[in-house]
Amino acid sequence: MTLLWIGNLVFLAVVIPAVVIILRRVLSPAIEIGNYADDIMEHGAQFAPHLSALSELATTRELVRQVNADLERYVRALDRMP
Amino acid sequence: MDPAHVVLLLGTAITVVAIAGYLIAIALILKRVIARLVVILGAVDAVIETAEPIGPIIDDISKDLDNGRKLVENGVERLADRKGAPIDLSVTGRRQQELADRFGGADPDGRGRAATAAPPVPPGIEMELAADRHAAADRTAAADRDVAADRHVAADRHVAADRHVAADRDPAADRPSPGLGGLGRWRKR
Repeated sequence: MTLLWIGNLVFLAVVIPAVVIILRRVLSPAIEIGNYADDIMEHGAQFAPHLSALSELATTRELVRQVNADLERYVRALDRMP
Repeated sequence: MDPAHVVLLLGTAITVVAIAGYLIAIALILKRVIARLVVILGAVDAVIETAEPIGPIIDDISKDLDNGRKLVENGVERLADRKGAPIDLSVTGRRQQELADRFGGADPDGRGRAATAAPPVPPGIEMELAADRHAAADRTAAADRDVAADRHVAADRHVAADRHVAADRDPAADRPSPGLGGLGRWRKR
């Protein structure tokens, strides 16, 4: 019976605190990872909508082509000048 | 039952409850992290898809601009050869001419005047140029309308994306938003 009490004391004084400490050491990085994921979600994932202006590059390309064609016509007209 | 057994049972129960509580908390955190990562990866996928055709488009624009520059240079050189007077196209020459015009300085050989003066309009093509100006104005107005419409669509997309992000922040809506683009495709991979 004395040995059982000694075992109980060791269990309550050593094993349970050790388990709690180990679990806390696992839990705190998990909480940090969760906070980082929230931060990334809040700040990082919102840059996708800001890239919608890239679709206007096609319009820019078309406008540059038109300007180029007009410029070519203008230079040809200059060549025809007496 | 012996009190020692009761204490042992209580200790075991406390240990099991503590382990279960911590494991459940970790599982919930990891579940939330997975949901966030799915949304973020979907957004990254959408960004990749959006930015994929930029390289060829910028190459085309660069080539067109380079062709236009060469066209103007050749045209000006031909004009200079025809007129017989050298034309200084350099920035220094134009700047000197501007300063000379502003402060009344001398410009003995006329360098830079042709480059800073308004481009000559050949006679006989004024009508053609006027028609071209009208057509260019129409094209510019149409392009402006397109750009305005694109801006409206982009603004709508911003609002929709913000709504999705807000919905994702809502704990009740703990599933990833498919509106951030490419999520379904990413999940299929």
